[in-house]
Amino acid sequence: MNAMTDQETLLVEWLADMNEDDALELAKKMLFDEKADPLRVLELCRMAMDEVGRRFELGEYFLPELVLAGEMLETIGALAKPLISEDGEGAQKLGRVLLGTVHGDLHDIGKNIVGFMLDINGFEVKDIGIDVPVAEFLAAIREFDPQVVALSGFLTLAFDSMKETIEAIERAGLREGRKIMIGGGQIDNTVCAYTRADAFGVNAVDAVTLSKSWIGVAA
Amino acid sequence: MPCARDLDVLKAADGLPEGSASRSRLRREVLELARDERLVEAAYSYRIVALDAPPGEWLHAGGEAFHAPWLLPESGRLTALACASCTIGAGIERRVASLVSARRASRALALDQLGNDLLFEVSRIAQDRMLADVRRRGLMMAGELRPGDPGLALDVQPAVLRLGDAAAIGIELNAGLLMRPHKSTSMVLGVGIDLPAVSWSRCQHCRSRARCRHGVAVAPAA
Repeated sequence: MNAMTDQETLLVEWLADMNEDDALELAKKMLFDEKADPLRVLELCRMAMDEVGRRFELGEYFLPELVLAGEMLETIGALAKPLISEDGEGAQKLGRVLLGTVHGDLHDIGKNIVGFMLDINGFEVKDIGIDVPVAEFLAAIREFDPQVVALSGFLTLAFDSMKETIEAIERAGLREGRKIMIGGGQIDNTVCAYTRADAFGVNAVDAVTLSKSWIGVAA
Repeated sequence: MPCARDLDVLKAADGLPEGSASRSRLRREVLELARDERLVEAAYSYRIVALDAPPGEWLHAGGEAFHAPWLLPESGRLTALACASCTIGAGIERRVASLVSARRASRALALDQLGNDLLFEVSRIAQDRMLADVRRRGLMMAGELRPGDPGLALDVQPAVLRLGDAAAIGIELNAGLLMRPHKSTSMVLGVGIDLPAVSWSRCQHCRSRARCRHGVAVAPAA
């Protein structure tokens, strides 16, 4: 890794400290005024995200900081990527995750945050919405061929819907080679065992960690 | 039935600590958004419903039956149930959806959290009013359960909403017992003579207890 200039150090610090306005202005200055290598700027962003992740592990940062960090990364990425030359490396997706709230449940904020975090962490995400019937999950699995299926539900009645959806996935022969996670509301090991999901997550970070571990990516 | 609308709950949200500079900044931003765009329509309604029969494991009130033995007091006499509904309207949930669509997830999350805090505030106001009401009648209030809590099945939600006149403040229920607007809640409290404070809390059995920003420190249920 190249030694960082003072300006690069400042960008990483401001991003890691959630200093959104200053970080974005500096990134724009580096990219458009100083013609900095966009791949270098993206590398600096990833270094900042590593620091954010470290602070999260230490309990200094929580989900709101992770989401804000993801937004900053996405904003700077949207500025930098068009500047990357055609023969530069494009981002390859880590894997495909199908995401939806099970039938009978209309809650979506948790699912949306999970989708956002998976996306900015490099996954190709297909969100099929809320109150999704079993048949629609099956059709989406056949069409999208995800490595991971993520079922969301907040109400306690969603537990039965999750169980029903997973059973249908198995009966249709669509579980082989795929992992299924559940999340939302008051889900724990008991619910996970009841639904026969492979794992559960209590927040969007878990969803990313699980997906990375299942697809064989370093977390 | 007592009912109040257009409660100014936003001022209470200013006081909640956020724990970090970035979260405080986001909170201020979404508070301003909620004010500027008039996203909050806070309201509550309640009714004190006399028991139709002597209290037992089943409580009969207003033509409905509730299996709620936790509300039976250790002493004193249970004579009624206070049934209440609260909402902050649909403005915040719609704005959250638009922020998500605009990939502004941090603001969506912060606004959604604000909505939860505001709903707690409306619940608190409603309980204060109910307490004042029962005290004027020479009664006391103890124990709080919400449909879906351990101790009160979710399927009594339609009954609680009917008794608390939730329709008067625009709350509806879908076939899956999900309230619309989403940021709504209902509750049942015991009312009676010489009721002691309950020894339990509805938070004791909650799996989210350890990380809840609203719960006081409670020992987990045995």
